[in-house]
Amino acid sequence: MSAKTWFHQWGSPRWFFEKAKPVSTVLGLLSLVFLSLGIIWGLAFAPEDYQQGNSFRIMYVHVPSALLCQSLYLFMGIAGFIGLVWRMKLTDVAISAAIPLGMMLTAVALITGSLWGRPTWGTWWEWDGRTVSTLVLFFLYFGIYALRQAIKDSSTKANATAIIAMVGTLNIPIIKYSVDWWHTLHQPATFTITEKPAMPSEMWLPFLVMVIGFYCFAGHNVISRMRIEILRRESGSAWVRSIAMSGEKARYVF
Amino acid sequence: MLVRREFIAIARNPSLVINPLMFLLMAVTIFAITLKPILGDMGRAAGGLIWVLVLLSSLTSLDSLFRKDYDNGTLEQLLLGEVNPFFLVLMKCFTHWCSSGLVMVIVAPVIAMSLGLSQDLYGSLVLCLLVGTPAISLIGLVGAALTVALGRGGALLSLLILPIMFPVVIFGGGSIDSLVMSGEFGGGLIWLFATSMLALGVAPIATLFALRLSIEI
Repeated sequence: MSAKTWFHQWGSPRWFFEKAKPVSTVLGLLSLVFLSLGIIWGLAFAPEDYQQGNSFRIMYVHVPSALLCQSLYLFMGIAGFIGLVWRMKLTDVAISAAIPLGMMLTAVALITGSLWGRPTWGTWWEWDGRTVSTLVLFFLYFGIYALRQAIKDSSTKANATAIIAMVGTLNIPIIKYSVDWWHTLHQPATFTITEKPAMPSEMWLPFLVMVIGFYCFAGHNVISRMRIEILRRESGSAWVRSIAMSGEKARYVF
Repeated sequence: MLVRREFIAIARNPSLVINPLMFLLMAVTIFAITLKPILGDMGRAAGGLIWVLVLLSSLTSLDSLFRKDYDNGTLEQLLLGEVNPFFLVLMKCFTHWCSSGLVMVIVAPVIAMSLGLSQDLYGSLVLCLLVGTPAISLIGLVGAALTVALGRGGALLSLLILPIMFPVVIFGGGSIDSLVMSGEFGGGLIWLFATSMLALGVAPIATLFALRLSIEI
């Protein structure tokens, strides 16, 4: 298959709808395995932290969701760029699918962070660097959400979202830097890709499993939402109608 | 010529300048009354407050930036006309900055005085504002262009662009705080400048895209 054909098929919602189904299923099963393994391992078998005791275990949910909500915003920025440059319809479907998950995960990161802050810092809420940048990320998500609510025409909506998602993505590193510059009493980042983690492997291995599980879940969730959104948008077309008329609707979606 | 047109429009409708200014003064009064107990402390709060106030009062004039030109069709004509639309956007930004940012810079020392900022820092405050306020106008322009066709900018406009403006206020307010505490900008001024430059690089392009979108050509 030539590169051009490969590229062009991404412009076809139907092609995506059909090809994405097995991917979504596999990712969903993987996330089920990884998340249950990681949760049981992290909550029941990982050793206690010598300073924080059992309270550190919320990290197994807090850090992956914080990672993922940033990745999802980056994903929206890239999708917006592709959508604006190559006029691909699918990218707006992707963005519309990523917004609810991203907003939810940002909220999860903030709430679990607050719950974690109570026993370790002695306060529910502390205006420290990473808390603020996550909160701003939530505002950025909400801005896009509000803009999409306000625009009726679907192509205007897609382009407007793409513009603001790109501007927001460019802005995220500056927000992070400015907030760090401003003030930080947060413990330094626990995990970096390049360095060996400071905590014992019995603690970080379940964490790694959780991160992989979260990413698989996000993949599954975004793709499933995209497929449903495609059905909604293409509801007038013959192929969607034939699915709706067939006796086995569920087989196509799940 | 276009710049002249903008300035004539402002001169004939001085409320474009006066309203944000009055908003600013009222907000200062409210802050001064409600935050009286903490204002005495070497004016540390003043720097941050001034930046917040400048940001909020700039917002009040952003909504009307393209509104009139959009409603009577001028915007469409200008974008279709022979003037380079990129220049058009830069000019809009410049006039908005003159009518809001620059005015704020001029009145900033007065506000700083009323909020108790130490007198030695007025010059630095003005410098900070001069470097940082263009970023506010530039980022605001993107939001104004995106929402002009929706007919109800207001709250949506603020929701869209306030999170993007966070760094400007953080660097700006932080610089003043650092000045009060240690007598140095602490890198804040350079970063403020960098933010403005980045905004200058990205915002006009994004605005142009957004305007094209709004008038659907």
